[in-house]
Amino acid sequence: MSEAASIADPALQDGTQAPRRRKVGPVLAVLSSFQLATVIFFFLLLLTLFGTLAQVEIGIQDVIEIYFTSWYVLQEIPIKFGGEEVFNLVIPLPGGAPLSILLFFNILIGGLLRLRANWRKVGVIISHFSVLVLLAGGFIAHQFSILGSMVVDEGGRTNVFRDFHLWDIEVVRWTGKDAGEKAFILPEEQVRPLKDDRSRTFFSQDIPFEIKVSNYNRNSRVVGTGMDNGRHLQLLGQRDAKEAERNVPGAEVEVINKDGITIAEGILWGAGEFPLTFEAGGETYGISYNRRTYTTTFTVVLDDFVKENYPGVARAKSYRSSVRKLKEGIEEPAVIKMNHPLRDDGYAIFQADYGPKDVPVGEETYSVFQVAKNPTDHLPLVVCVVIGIGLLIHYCIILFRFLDRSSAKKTGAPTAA
Amino acid sequence: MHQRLLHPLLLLLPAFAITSCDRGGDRVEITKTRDLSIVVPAEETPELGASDESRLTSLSFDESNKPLMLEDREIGRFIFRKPNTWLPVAESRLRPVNFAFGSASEGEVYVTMLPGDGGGVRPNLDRWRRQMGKDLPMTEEEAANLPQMTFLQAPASLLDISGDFTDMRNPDVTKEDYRLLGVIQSFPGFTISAKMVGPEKLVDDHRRIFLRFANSLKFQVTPQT
Repeated sequence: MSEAASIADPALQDGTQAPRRRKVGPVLAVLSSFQLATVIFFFLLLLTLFGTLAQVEIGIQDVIEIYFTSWYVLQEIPIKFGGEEVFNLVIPLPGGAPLSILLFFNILIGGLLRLRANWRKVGVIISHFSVLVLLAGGFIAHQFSILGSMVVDEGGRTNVFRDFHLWDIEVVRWTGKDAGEKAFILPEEQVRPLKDDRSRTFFSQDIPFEIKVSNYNRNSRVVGTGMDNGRHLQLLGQRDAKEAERNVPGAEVEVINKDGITIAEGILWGAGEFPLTFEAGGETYGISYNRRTYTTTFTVVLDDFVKENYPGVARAKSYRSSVRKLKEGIEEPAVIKMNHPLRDDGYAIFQADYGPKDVPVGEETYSVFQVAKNPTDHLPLVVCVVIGIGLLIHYCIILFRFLDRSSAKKTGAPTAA
Repeated sequence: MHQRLLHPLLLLLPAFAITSCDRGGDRVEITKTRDLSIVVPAEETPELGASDESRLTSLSFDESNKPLMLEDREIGRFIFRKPNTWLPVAESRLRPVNFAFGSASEGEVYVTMLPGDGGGVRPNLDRWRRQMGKDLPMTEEEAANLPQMTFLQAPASLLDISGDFTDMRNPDVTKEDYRLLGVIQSFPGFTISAKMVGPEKLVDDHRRIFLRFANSLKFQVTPQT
């Protein structure tokens, strides 16, 4: 296709004029084609099928990562013969990321090339470009939304919540300058590749040592090796949990000072009680493995948590947290209960859980809130309404044109073009 | 006109691919920090240079230095979680779940299954009190103030009592400074209780574990095959 391809302009195909052909380059012709859209939808259908089947084995979070936000998928299909598995057929498929991007450009370019600014097409144009907004909103939500849990003791307060799935290694200076004021973050995205023999050294101008991280496991446990009277521990990787939030990552770290001398080494484990502590440059530091931590723009004080059971059984009928929201010196009481979240500054705080469950009533309890921040929280609803309005306009136009033509046929009057 | 507008858009395609790659090398500068709004209180931090085992294990170790880990078990019709350090003791018809713990196995944990109402929940609690040297039955106020916990998926009163323990199987011997934790639940046709008995300090160390054990206990009306 060295010559420019031509695209029929369907806007003019209303029976009165021959379709006008617009010359475009071959790349644009392919990108805007219905054929490409068909191929994209076919692969999206396959991903939906395989992603649904995969949920027998793995959880929703992993399915989203493997099928719908990845660049490619190596789908394994077990081939059985006589009831026994002979081999695994591996089919490479495009992941949800390239398909979504291609779909976005297909709709965008196709719309720009094929749709003409015409009052009769206003409904289609509204609906068409609303789909683009929906796709863009999905991208923004994937990139920028946060979901985590906030734990508050009765009588306690916090403005901190922790991610359900992401974990960071955090380095905190406990003494000296800026002690306890900020944490240096080794983000999960940079630690996750460090499996098996791979290691990576992290450094900063603000700390007098480097941290070498290795032997990362997304889900790990600590076991005794049998040495040192059974008290020497090692980190073992284990199969990922079906619910991704149950994974407990671990890694081995080595702290090396400016002279290249190892000053501390040990295991960092998500379920560990305390940080790895050491002295460097005359100051004390701690390194720990924590769920990624965020802060809200206000503080939540939990005054009371009430769990009501159904009569005679321990099954919960309802949970309710009486809280106060503190923001810029203003105190505002609120009750968080099922379907009644606390909303402010883009955060939505839902009642999610309570604990501990294995102690008698009357002992210390805490409330667990799910905190969500999604810049496109209401976008799908708004866009769907707009798409609906667009389609309604379009069908009304078609209806009125049909009625117009019908009445014209009866009267013999000419119809409007 | 359209093509002039659209071609730059095509450049976004490889841009998406490039930005998604892992760009870390062997050495990476730490660029991300966060302000700490909660500082770990000093009394909750471990000693400087603490070893892995003292940092990483919340349940610590038992007297023989074995890590205390919880494991899922199924015995007969009962499913529960218990620490790996509880040792199995011969089961009986009345004690279908039976364990010993402590360095000399001086502590007992067991589940009792009695037919019918087993004599009643309140009389059983009073009987346990008598075993601990408290001869007077509980007053209504004392009974009402017993802490509540979930046992066999229903609310139940927890008896937590210290005293001199007399084992009904060996009534001539009284063991001093003992502690008893017990919880009981009555169902149509049978009554189930879980108890922990042992030296005061030992039971104190294992109280939380017992609560987790009792909380995890499930009874299958039809045993799994």
